[in-house]
Amino acid sequence: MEDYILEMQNITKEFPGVKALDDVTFCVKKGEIHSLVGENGAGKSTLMKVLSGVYPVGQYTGIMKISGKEQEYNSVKDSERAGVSIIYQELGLVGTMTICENVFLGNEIVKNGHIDWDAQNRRCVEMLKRVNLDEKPNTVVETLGTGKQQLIEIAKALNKNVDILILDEPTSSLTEQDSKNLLDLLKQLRESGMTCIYISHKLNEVKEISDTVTVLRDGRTITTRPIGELDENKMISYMVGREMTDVYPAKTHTPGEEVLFEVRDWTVPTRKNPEKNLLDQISISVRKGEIVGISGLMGAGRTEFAMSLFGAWQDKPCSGEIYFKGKKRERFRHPREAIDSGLMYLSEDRKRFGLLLNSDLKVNMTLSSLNKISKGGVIDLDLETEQAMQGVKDLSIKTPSVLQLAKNLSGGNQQKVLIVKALLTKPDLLILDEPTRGIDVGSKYEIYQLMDKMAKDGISIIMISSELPEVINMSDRVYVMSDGKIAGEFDTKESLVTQETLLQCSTGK
Amino acid sequence: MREKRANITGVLYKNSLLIELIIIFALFSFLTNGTFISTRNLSNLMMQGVTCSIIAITMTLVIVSCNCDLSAGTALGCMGTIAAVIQVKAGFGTAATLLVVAACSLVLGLWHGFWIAYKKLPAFIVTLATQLVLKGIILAVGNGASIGPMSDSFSKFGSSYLPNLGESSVHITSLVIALAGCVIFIVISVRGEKRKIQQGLIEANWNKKIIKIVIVVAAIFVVSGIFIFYKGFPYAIVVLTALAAVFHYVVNNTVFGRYVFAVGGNAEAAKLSGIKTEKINMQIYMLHSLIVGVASVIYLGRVGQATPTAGTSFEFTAITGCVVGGTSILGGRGTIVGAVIGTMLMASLDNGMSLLNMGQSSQYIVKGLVLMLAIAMDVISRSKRG
Repeated sequence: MEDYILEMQNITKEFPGVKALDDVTFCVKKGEIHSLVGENGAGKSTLMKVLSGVYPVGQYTGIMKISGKEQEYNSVKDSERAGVSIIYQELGLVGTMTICENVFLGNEIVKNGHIDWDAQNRRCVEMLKRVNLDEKPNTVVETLGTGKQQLIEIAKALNKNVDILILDEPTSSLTEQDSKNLLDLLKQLRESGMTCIYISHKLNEVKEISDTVTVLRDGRTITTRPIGELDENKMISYMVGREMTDVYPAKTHTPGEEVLFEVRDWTVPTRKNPEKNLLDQISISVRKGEIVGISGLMGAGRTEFAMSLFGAWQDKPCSGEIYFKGKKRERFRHPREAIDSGLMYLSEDRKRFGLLLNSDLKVNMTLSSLNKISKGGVIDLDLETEQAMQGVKDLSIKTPSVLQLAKNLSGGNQQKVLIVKALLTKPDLLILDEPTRGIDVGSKYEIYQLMDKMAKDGISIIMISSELPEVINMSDRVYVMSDGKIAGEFDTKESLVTQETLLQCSTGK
Repeated sequence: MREKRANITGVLYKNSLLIELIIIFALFSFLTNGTFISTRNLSNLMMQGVTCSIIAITMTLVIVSCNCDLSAGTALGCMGTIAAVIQVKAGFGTAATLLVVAACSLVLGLWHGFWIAYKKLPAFIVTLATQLVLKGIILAVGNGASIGPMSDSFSKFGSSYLPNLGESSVHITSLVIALAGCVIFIVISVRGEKRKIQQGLIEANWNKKIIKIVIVVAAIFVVSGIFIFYKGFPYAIVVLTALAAVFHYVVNNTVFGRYVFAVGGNAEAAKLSGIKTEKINMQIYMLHSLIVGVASVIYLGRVGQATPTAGTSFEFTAITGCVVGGTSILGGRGTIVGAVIGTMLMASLDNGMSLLNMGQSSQYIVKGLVLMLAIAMDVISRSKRG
């Protein structure tokens, strides 16, 4: 029997309609760096949320033991008490507070009812030394770069006497030098006996620092092996193979020859870390009536790319050249400009960025194209109703009436409402961001059919998707994005593109 | 059985405004031995409520778009003071005075729009700050004294009645207008309903529609009757009705109205739909400020002189009226007609409590609690329904 500090056995977690974790077993030895890899949606985050108490006992089934003792958390606080600490990709620091205040946030050293600042500062200096950060405790956090902030997060975790440190994509927003420092720190912490769970898409980093690797796919454990037995290719072959459960309609469209849209050297700096570009010299082109897929892992910058093209990123400077319908043009400064020129974007987050949930379907459908059905600012309500009803009919949206509120529809039907909204703007180029996320299989097929039909009607489509089979089957061409850059381009007609090829490209190999 | 009960709750909720009106009227009529529902008092009551009701019209747009305005009452007082000073002390004519008030209101709208829409400062703080600034201006311009009287032509807006064409004690002009209003309402409702049925939007349910029309027509007659048997329609009520009708149309039939609701319902989605949210917010504050200017003219006309405390807490009455009338404090939902009725309800409360000689202290407590209750009902019902 080996010395496991963490044993998670037969963990199953279900969301309505989906099994996010299906009988997962995940065991971590004391003092090792154990990497957890898998595609988007493989269940890594869900598993870590079970481990850190975000999903309390009762919301999942299975057994979890830490140092041999069975754990039943009711909250995140319980997991911290058991020695588990998680550092998310999005940092959880309060920018306006000092390093010391952040490190002790929620854990203040209190003496006689007031904070003992001397003791806190002394301990903070100690912690900063442990994470190799040469800063004063009273430095305000937001004046530091992302790399240093990451180290403060680790100092904060160490301060809680953590035994198991979980890092979720820690290097995704770091420069190379900062990443290297972080990896060195992790190795150093391992020397001192800390156990680390490391989640990353960057397989070269995984290869460099891990002792053991567990691969998840579709909510199941595929394998757990010592790093010696794995290389990057082997990891990839374990990660892919998402079953082709979805059926795809036969392609009936043929892309034209004429290039409709082209962007060259599109560059957007990161807000907080100006040394690193969020998007770095991206160049892509789309032909008329073509479906172009953009594949890539979470955090590769795909949504940011789409939003910045669409003019919804205006507070930050974007640079690069845009050619649209054969003419060079200024970048779009507002979605209105983009829509009026024939570019429309539908967000991956339908509820937050797409729908007016408390308004009816009619209002939702015509919102972007009211200028087409109004005169002197007065809406032709009859025409509006007519258009909306036509949309419901054409896309067979299941609803009793166009007066139904958007929130009362299923995910698939909501997506169709948004597609009607996009079509009413008469777009030449439509960007669909994760068009089938959270949609049942039947509706997915209908959405695929619609996309094919739109392309056949001459609309060009850029489809951003995390589902490799979907990208391969629906696109004429695929760009792979990785770390804010275009990492590869594949023509799905000319050569056989496999899930492995795309994933290899995404993981920066 | 349970379904039936849920149905009844739904009907009660939908008509809560009507029910509240009936309860308040019945209660006060009983407690004041009928003084409350005398035509004289009701006419008075509506004249007291008319200023806040006018403010409530555009306050609805402000709240629907997830903004707020705490300076409306003080702005009304300030514009009133300026108008009084230039007319009484500097001898401006009525037309010139009106122009100055309009200019002041546009400046105020631009000021709010600049900070709230374009600089993204929280509306609550900006308008609170403006409130204090305007208070200072009132004292500086008016020297803290009452200024009056206003000229007859100016006072007309607030205190005169439509001329009576007939000779009888019944006010013929008003009667004709009320009848015309009913006919227009019936024609519009029936045509709208017919069109909806024709388009297949709703199933024909004429019984329900007819009951609704009868109730509204009855309400028009009751309200008009108060004036017809007293002194006829005051100009102020005519202005209120006309503005309410115009903004009802704006909300339901224009692109601007649609955008206001979209910005309030989901600002991020609105922006990605191509709506220039900054521009919409700016337009809302400009319009609102202009309407506050109109309200100030009517108020000043009725009172006849500007006082340093004029307009104090009018915004409170207007906001409460909006919320009582079904405007959601969380944005994205509300109606103009509801807001006007809600504000009149608040005026009734005011009037009734004064008739009962209740002290200022208990009046404040009651009004505060009413706002609290209305917001609680709004937020809780909304979170329940998701």
